[in-house]
Amino acid sequence: MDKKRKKQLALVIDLNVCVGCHACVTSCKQWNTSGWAGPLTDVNPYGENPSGTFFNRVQTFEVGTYPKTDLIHFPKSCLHCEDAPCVPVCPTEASYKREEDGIVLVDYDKCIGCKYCSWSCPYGAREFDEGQKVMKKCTLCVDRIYDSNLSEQERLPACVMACPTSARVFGDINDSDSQVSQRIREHGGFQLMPEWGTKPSNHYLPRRKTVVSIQPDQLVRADNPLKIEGELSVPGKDDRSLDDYTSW
Amino acid sequence: MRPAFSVIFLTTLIGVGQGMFIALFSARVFASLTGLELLDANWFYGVGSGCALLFMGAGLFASFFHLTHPGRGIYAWRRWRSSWLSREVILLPMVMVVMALSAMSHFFAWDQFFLKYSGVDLTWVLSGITVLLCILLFIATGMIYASVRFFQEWATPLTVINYLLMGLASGYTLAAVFAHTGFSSGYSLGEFLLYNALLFTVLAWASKFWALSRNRRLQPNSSMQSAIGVHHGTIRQLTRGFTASSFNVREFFHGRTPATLFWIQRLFLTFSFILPVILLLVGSWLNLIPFIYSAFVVQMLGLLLERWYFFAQARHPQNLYYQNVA
Repeated sequence: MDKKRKKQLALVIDLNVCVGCHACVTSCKQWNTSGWAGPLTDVNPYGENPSGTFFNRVQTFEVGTYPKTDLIHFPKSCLHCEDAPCVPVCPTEASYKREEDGIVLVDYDKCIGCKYCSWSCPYGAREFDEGQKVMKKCTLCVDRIYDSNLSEQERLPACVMACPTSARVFGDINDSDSQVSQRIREHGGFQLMPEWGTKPSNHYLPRRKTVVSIQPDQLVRADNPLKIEGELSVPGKDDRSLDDYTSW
Repeated sequence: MRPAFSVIFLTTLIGVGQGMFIALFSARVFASLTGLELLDANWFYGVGSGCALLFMGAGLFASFFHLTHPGRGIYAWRRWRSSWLSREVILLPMVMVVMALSAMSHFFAWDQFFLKYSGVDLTWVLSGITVLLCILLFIATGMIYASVRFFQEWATPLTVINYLLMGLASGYTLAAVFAHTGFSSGYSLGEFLLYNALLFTVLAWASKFWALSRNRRLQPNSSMQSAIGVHHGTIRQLTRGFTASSFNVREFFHGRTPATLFWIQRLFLTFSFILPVILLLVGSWLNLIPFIYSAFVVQMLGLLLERWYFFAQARHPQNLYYQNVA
């Protein structure tokens, strides 16, 4: 059982702390529209009916019925599936999954624009670029994470860098000691649409209820241990207690 | 999803081409089995195969409009091990080349020449290979759609069977039309082709009906709950994250009302199957050739509508993420 596990880079997105600010969306767009691979084209950006290519979107869902509702901000990008259904269907081998780190990429110079891969992605993670006329998708900022010109702490996807609440964590999910693996393990990480068997690498962490339970006796002074022994009577609400005499 | 006209024309036109070639081949088998004497057999099969080839070419031409970089299409064979689209890209030109050779072998009577020196009837060999490749191409075309498991409406063997039967139905109808254009072979084979056109139109009708009733009962595999991983009975999208348009919205929503879809379905069922059957029957009973001609035109119109509906009815799980603008 000493088989070496393959590296699989991925994002873990914590739905409990995402505030839906779209900083990851704009940061992603800014980085990926400025690179050597060409722009993420915006068609008619300031006119009527604008349309643009994005690698990452933040959507918002309402769960429950008012007033008992919960608001879920839901960032969605390519999940870099371990069994990516978009890859084997690409006729020109433009879509591929990297052996070394499991990132699913599109070779823009090989794409013929048949859009067959987008049909084979249940998550709608791929977007067709109307400028370059090729299919595009999240690259996990492959042009950042290995760039030795960047300082070590900057070798992260642009969305992760931008997130103000640290809702996005980046790492190798097949390394059990990595931060992403720990988060998945300890906070109930789950995958999207597991029913299709695509084994998405990106995981999401669920909403967690923060519950503070206060018993009635905690509202009055109950910190005098002597009362348990029955040596002293329970102090009155406004009486001085141990805390008032001592500085711990 | 949104139907792409290039693909609608590609699939219907190559379907006719393959169907017609198979129809002519079967007529030839029929003639040789029943010992029919055909005076202008080589002309008939040669011109007929050429006609089938024209439809294949028109289909291929339409396919280029689907690609934004058709020039790179030359590399589209590379994923043949796993992609049915790749396999179609390989098979389509192969079928066309062998079909062209087969047409020429009839047209220029190569069979006489080869028969004399090798003892092998080249036309039989070439047209046999073409028929085999045509059937493989039908399977490849059907599997392109049937293999996308996310479109549950397509992910069934019925998709392949439908493509095959509708191609054969329209191919036999065109061959029946062709048999009524004055070839003396046509007089002998016209009835055979026409009755087969009727048979395959009825079979295609039945299998299409089966597929439609299957799709009516379909339960979506994915739900809002599995899409965002929140297991609550009431989930509503407040915003898809942008107010503008995007690829996901354009490609996967047809934007028509359910009523439009309903009427297109009724129209294609009438035009592809019911009317051609009536026209072919009346045409053959009363020997009214214009009826047979119009059967093909009507059926083609119907099949174009059928293909439109085939794409429009397909619902993609990604649509769960794109339900509300804001």
